[in-house]
Amino acid sequence: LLVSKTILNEYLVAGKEITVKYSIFNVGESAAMEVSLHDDGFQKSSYDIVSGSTKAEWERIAPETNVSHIVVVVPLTAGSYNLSYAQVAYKANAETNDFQHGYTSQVGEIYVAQRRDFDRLFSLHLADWLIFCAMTMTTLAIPYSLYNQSRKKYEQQDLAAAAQKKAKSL
Amino acid sequence: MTVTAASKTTKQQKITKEEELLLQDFSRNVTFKSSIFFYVNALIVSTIPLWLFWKIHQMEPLEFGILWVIMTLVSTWLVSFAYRNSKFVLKHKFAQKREDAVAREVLKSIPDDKKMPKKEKDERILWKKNEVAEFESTSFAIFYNNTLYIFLIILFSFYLLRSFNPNFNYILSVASSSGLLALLSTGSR
Repeated sequence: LLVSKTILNEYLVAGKEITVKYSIFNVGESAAMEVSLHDDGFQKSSYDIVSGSTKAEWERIAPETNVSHIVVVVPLTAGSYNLSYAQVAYKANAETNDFQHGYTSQVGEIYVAQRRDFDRLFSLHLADWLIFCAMTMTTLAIPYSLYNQSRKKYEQQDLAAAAQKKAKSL
Repeated sequence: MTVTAASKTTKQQKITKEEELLLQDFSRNVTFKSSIFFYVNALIVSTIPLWLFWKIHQMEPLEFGILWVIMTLVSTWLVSFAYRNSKFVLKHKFAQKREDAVAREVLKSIPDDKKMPKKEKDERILWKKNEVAEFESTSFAIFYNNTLYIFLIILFSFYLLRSFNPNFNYILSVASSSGLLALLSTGSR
């Protein structure tokens, strides 16, 4: 059996879900029996398990087939974490009683970013922009309307005077 | 002799008042009331972008409070400097534009039966023209500079300096925007 452990997320953020995928490939000629997967890498102090389980079992994995298992976890705090390998145990064929043990690939060190750093990059902040626009409009609309009131008054007077002059000349 | 002395003093007073108006017209200095008005407006417009830095750039007020206060004060001074300069340039333009309309308005307001010397009429027109030009130039200077400042802050903070650390982004955006505003206001047109 070849077993891989991968993280499907592009960005790892504290308080946001991380999807971990375990893929088991049977590259042998016989079916693997009583396959069990066990991952101790997600301590309760650092992670909440939102969906799935860190333990999984399959009665039989046929030759030249693969299976996968997903766990969704949420890191509680930002910082560096070491995601080590998970353990796999299985019987090489139906006749044997001996279990073989193996390990998945390692993800290695991961960096979980602060929520605010992620929000700064990706959140739309629509409400924040709307509030900013409302505040800005006040500082722009008031002086402009004061200027415009005065301008209109005197420009209208100029127009009226010009019209009167034209009427007189006719 | 007393009558002659009195009329000479009145003439001197009239000339002084006219000169005072002309001096006011051509001086860059603003009255204390105008100064306070400019500073208050500049403070408001310098404070508004802090909302963006707090909510979008995620700068915490408690952490960056002192920096915000310092930069806001610097920006307030520079923006009010820009207001003063812009107002000075605009006042002359508006005074020229409104001359005829203001003169008509003042002459209309004088009752026909009241006989007023030409000099007094001219003084009233000059005073009113100054008042209108002062009002329009002040309000337009504030509007124009506020618009330009907000535009520059957004340009610097969200485009030119977006990859910078929020701290440097804030300092450079505010300094550049208010500095550029002050610099542009020193132009004569």
